[in-house]
Amino acid sequence: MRFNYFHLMPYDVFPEKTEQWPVDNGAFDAETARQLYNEYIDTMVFAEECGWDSIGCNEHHFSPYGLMSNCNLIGSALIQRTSRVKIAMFGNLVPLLNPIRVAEEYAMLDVISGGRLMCGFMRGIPHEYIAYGLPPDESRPRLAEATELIRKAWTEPAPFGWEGEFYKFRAVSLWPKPMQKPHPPILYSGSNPDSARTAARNRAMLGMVFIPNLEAGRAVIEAYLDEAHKCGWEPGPEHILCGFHTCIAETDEAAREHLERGVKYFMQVLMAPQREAQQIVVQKSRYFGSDGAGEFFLHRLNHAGSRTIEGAIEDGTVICGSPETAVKQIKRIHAELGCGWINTNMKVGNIPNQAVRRGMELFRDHVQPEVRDLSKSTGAMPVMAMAGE
Amino acid sequence: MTVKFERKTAQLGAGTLDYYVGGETGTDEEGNARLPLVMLHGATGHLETEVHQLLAEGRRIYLPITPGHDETPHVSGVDSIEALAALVAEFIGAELGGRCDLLGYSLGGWQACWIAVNHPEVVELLVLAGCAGFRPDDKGGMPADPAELLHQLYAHPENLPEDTRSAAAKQANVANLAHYNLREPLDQPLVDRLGDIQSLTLILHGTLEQIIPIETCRILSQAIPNQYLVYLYDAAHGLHVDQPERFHEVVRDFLNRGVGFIVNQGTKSAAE
Repeated sequence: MRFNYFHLMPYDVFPEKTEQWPVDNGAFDAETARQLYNEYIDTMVFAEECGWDSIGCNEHHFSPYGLMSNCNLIGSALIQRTSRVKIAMFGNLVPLLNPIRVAEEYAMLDVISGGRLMCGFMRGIPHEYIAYGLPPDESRPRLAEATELIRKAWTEPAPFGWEGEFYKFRAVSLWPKPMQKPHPPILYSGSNPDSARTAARNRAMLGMVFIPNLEAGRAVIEAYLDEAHKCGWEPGPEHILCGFHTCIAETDEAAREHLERGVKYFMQVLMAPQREAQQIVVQKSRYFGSDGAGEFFLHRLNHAGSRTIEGAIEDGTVICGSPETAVKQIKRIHAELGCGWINTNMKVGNIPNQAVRRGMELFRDHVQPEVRDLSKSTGAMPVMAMAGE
Repeated sequence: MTVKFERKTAQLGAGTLDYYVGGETGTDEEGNARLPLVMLHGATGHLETEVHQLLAEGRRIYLPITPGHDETPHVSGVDSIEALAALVAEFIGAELGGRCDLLGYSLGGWQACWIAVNHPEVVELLVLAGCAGFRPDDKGGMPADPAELLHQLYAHPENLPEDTRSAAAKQANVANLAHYNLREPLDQPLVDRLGDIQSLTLILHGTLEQIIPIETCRILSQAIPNQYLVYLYDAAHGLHVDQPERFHEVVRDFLNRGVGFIVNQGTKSAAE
């Protein structure tokens, strides 16, 4: 079993409950943010020391929910201070960006890191499309076209041009090209069967978060495996990553207390402004297809805060407890989902940074040694096959 | 306004060559008359599509019919792709004032390469779309199964115009290819001479192309001295049918601006 250390970089001193999005930035304090950035980067670097296999960055806009509006910048900082771990991007929000720029920056990161990059090709959550002024309806076709274009940019042996629906580049020739061949692993998010099938069609790793229960997660994975089979390839556990809020403390009670408080702040303060914006986008656009994914998303969005920590533990959708409890929970997740990667988000809401670091030490000393050898077949890193090969 | 393509017959030294012609000669930004565009069809023969109409706006277009296709007579001594190229070059000299822009699709691309190699004086700009003749190790090729062939020809067969030709007529066109001795999927003598091409060349390849392998693009782009390779997204072998607007836009920009086609001119480009 491999583990990714994920960080949202929340502005965790945001004082107000507001439902307006974008969030009024009058309360933003640069010095506070400077301290947070440095604290968070230190924590992410510490994850290498604690045995995590990769460190995950992400991209969000216009909200204290996350300060990482460009995950490549944080990734670059992490590369300089680490030597072993993979740097996993849970951005870039590819449909919002210039795909050639994405290809270039990822190639730079892969070369600078010596081939340690895992590349997220994310569609983003719905409200990000307001931030960058792009039609949510175009998110899927933009992602599909950009994926092909970026792959070409990474792998073509000579200059080429691209005449597409959304992108036109008459002369492309990347300097540098990625170090990993044919290119770094690509990760798609897929928390519903439709998105999971898209990931499979693009021969990408599947990244899944916020599943309502393990049974639903299994259905998503089965959709992914089934579609991959139809497309002529067989993903292994190493291609499947499942994300969980994770809180490890000396005792179950302490862990629950931390996580409960952190989730409450996360849901009621950090998530509240964008919840409204996401509802508008989902209701007023075809961001999701017509298969009920939009309704599922909204249901999950509106009910996430009502779940108790105990209920989430019972459902297997959080990792929370003492090291012994965490080991049992991880083994259950592995047994029921068959994933080769677990994505741990330990800085949930305003959980104190010291508590997060203590949890990381406990993971290093008592959890990781017990679960390391689950899915031994995941010893290899995913190698991305080219579509059509 | 719909451009009407008129069918005519050219009297050449070796025999006759039937062709369609349409569109009015336009002028470039400096007021000079644009060169005519010769478009060479693929194996199944000429089929007028949206692209012909789009390209004919401000440009005179000539569409020669391969002798033996569409019940036209063969020309004595023209029994190879190289000889066919010589015939078209003679046509350009006799009917078009001796110089044109040349666009070859599939089999037509193969001819166009021979024309550019052996008769460089008649070609200004060269466009090769889904170009046949350069399939190493017999990669790609047309599948025998009709359903699979249609699938590999068009990602968007719904874009096909009404085709009044009978299936037998189209089959006869394909059978006519035997007359030109197209036995080798890789025309090595032509590969050896691609370096002689003097024309600025645009190579077009569909991202869903299966009939022409990607290796064709590698061969062409490595050997032709002054070329640009452009992928048409979401297009199979019949890339002008699958994506007529994209095909038109890139070809129009290339023909109008030459090497300057790599510069995005924004709305000005659309107004040209």
